[in-house]
Amino acid sequence: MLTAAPTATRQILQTQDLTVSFDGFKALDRLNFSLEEGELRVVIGPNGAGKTTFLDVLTGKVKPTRGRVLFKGKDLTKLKEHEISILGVGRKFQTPRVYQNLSVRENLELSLNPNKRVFPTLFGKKHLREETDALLETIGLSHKDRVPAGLLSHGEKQWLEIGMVIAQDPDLLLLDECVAGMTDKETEATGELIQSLAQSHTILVIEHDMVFVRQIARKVTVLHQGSVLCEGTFEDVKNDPRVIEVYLGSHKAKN
Amino acid sequence: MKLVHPPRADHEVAVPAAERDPSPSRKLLWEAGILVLLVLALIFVAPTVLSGFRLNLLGRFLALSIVALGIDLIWGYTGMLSLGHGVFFALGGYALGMHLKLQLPEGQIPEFFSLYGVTELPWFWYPFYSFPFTAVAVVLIPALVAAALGYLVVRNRIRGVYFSILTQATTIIFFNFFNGQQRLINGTNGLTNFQTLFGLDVNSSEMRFAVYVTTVVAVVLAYLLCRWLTSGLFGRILVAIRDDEPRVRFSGYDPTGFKVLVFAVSAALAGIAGALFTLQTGIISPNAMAVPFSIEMVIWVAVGGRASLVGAVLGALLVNFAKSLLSENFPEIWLFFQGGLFLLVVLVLPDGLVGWVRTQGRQLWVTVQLWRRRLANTSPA
Repeated sequence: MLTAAPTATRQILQTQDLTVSFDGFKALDRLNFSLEEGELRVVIGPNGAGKTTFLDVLTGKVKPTRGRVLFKGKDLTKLKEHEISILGVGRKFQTPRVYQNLSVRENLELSLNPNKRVFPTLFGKKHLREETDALLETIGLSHKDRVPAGLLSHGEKQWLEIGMVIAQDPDLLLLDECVAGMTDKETEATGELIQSLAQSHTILVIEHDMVFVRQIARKVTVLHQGSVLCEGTFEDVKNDPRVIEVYLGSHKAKN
Repeated sequence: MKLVHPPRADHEVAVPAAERDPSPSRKLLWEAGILVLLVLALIFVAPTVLSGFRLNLLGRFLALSIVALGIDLIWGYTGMLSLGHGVFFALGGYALGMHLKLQLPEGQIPEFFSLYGVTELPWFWYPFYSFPFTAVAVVLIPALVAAALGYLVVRNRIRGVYFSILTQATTIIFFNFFNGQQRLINGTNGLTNFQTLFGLDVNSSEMRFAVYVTTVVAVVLAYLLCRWLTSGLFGRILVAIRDDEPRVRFSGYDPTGFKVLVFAVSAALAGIAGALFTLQTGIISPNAMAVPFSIEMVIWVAVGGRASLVGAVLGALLVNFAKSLLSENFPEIWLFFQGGLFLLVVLVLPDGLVGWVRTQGRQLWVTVQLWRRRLANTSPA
């Protein structure tokens, strides 16, 4: 486990000249980004800024055309998805992706399993009851533990998937628009959950909902056309003329 | 475990959760009881009720239900639709067939070799003199072929319909190979005319009954193996792979190992089924590797109910009994019936018979109970 000195923080994630090009279209264009251990960072940006592609590269789903991703000093671009996951990067998808035919409890148990290779899974200890109960409590789904995940409401699925990511005990949590489709009340509760998670995890949140960003943000990074436009506190970023132009400009173009 | 909220009043949460549990140990006891009763009925009652001919058929179909279990394991639970299990079935059948053909006096070789002027036993036949080797080969040869094939296909993330096409192509390759090798394994005629096993006549009624009992035991063991694999965490991962394989990778699992393992297990089951079937029909030929037979296997599971082990066994038995009854009486209509059956399952019973019982059947039962109660309430008043 990482034990950083309280004063000197360390970089947990760093990208260098990260470029992803799809048939000539650069979804990411020489992106240089870094995240310090224990940080809660929000990444915003207009549609098509490359936010989700960025997460795809971090989790091994997309291989970059150029550049490196260093996580705890290791280059992730050479690794497969499950290896990155085991290394400590957990991802919550934009639209909730839970295992529909498994119950809430089974979804969590599957993610909690400490050794995910074939034979340890087959012969290993199967009842992770206490850990699962504790997690169910955290995500507020104790009363629905036997319900198939496919029957949950949208907000509950979002929470279950957050629970599944926490279950993996990652050092870095990637949350892709986790309040999309939630009611105001659910959004606020999610914000509180993320803030309490931030006490023990490094978290990278990708978000559209500005009210939510204001609630949780400490430091905000704005992506535009595949690279970093600016970085700073929510207030700084909100008042930055370049950000206003990118957001308002795109709105004008739409109207 | 790093947790945000420390588990508050942990025991308080645990107690109601345990209470809601529908007592899994009791359910298991029921299941074991029913299983034992079925086995006793098959071994002691069936032989007294059924004619020798029907009993032999039942034995064959029970052997086929072992393949159905294997297909269900990979298709129903893991989402890999194999259209090539005939290959593994035939490999098991051939392994045992070769051993049976070698029950000869010292120095003789199986009679068919003389047709092609072969006087020396081909080298790969020699190990099949040994029964222990044969028994292991019945399981291991199909499993290893499947593991090798599965690894190459699965590792390259080939799945869905492309996987099915590749398995079907495999059957054609194997079919053509076995069909063409007269000098090695009697080509298209296959291996037949078996005489003895362990020095006993394979056609004696005692031997037939022993084979029948062995088959019943094999079905039970295969069922228990599949039951174990599909319950617990391993089984959940199979279902997760079926429903959303890419997501499983982000949960930290490499699906390759899981898929290769169940594919190999399923092929081993097909091999065992092939051996038991061959022993009861007295012939194994390349026809077992022909495309239609592999597709029939899939139909059994579809009719019985995917992702239900009982459904797989039931489907294999029902479809095959229907087939034998219909083709005895109206030999020409069986294929139409089979096609109709498949349409019926796809259109009306997408989850097979067991799936229907689980959903609509249960609903129907509840409705009937409701009406009965209503009638009981109204009639005295």
